[in-house]
Amino acid sequence: MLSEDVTVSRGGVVSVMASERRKHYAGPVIDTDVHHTWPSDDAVMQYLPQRWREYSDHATVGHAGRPAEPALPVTHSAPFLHPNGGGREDAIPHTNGGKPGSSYEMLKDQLLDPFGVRKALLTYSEGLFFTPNVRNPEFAAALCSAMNDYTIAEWLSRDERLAGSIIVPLQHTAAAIAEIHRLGDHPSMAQAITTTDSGGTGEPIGHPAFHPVLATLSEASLPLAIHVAGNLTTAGGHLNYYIEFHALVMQHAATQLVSLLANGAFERFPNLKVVLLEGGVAWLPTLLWQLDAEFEKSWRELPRMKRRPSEYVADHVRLSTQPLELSPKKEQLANLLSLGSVGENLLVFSTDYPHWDSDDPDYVARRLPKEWLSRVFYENACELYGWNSDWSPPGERA
Amino acid sequence: MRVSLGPPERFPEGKLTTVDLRGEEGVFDEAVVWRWHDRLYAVRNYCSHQGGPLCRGRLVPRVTADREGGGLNSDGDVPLLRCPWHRWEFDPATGRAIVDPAVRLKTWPITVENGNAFLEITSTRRMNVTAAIKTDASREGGHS
Repeated sequence: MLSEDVTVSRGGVVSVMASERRKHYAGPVIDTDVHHTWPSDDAVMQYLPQRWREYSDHATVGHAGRPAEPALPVTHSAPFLHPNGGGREDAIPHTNGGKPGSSYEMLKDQLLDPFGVRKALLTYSEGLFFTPNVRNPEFAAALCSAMNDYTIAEWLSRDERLAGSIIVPLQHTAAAIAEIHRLGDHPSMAQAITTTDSGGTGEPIGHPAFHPVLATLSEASLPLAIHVAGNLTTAGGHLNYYIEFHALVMQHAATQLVSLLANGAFERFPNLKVVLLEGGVAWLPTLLWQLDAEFEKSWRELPRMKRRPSEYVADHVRLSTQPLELSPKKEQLANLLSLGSVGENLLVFSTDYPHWDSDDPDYVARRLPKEWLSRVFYENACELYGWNSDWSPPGERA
Repeated sequence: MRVSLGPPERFPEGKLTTVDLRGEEGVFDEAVVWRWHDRLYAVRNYCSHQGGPLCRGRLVPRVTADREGGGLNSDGDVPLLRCPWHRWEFDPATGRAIVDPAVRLKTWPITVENGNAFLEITSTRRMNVTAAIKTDASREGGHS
């Protein structure tokens, strides 16, 4: 008999398959890459000073198709159409504008609660992608401050499991430093964040122009998250298809890492910690082999570098797991990471929720050796952010 | 075992409907059921790739490429079921993934007799299984 009087359970199949969701790892989780966003531009614009609200408003006057509501005059431009949209279709809120990542309740129901997430690092979504496009340095600075204030007020205040990232305008290094000073002590702000094109500046992050920013982060013991985004041009030139970008995310992350090493950032700024987000992980072992070998031959070029590149990386750099490379057999990836001494100590777990290519926690747990899981899912991130792995109040740094 | 789903018209053409399968111990599985050109399809509400909730996916035309002419075609005769997470696409008739046929969804046959649809399940240990359509609340991503 067909009946329709059953109690509707939360989360569709998640409720039925609850025992399956955490089958391979049931311990605590820190998710280092969770893309939150705002339901409408107005939500952020209200945090802009009046001068910049007017600037935004005037910038869109007279545009065909100008939205009825106030809109930020910035967009994420990419050289290709995304074949799959940007977000998980089951993460589209039906109530507040329809942008994945704009609903705290959905984040709670789809990620925080079912997977035992102790801490989720909020890393922005379109805000991360459009910030590098803002060439006006003062407007970029105002936008970053508004996005940070929006995040504090609308997200971080709602759940102690949420941790923020101070988005910094590298187009304007003095403003970036001021923003770090303004918010670095906020108890729920865990790090600063920028893009793999260094805020659209055209210089990799190790360039001396950014040293004052790196010094400020080092002094504040705030990690710097560098997320693949911004200028998506590759070493060979422009792209035609999304798959070209997505298969080459490692190129963007690796460029930033090598720049930091070659410019002596970790020698100059001994407390600087960097986490590379969404750049993949499997490329690191071979790059470290090559870097160490090059260093042996070319150390005279870099006398400031006192240690092998791989030693700096071990002490200063972590990589988020998503998008975890899918080797044909799961042991192939684990073996590669073990050989490169990357494995359990350098990886920090991330889902990339709610983007379309997010990694399911249990899926990642299935792909990595069991003995790595507590480090990758939890302890490495606790060390990176200075959180007590026995668990401490949100934002409390050792 | 045959589980009654009621008249096929309860499943709107081209719309994914989530159905709870309930045994004596409560709900033990979920199916996604849809109708297309008067045929009913049913798969487990669980993507075999990474576990995405297929009820939140969509039916999409099959895209084909004409190698010789270089043309691209979109064939909607029998739409594929696409997962909301990583957009894996599955042939509803076989449950097999288009890009990797070794990856397969759990499918259930559906028969229609005298205006009533029946889900054919193979469980030998469950008795008195019933099916119930979830309300739309389950499609709100947990906002029940």
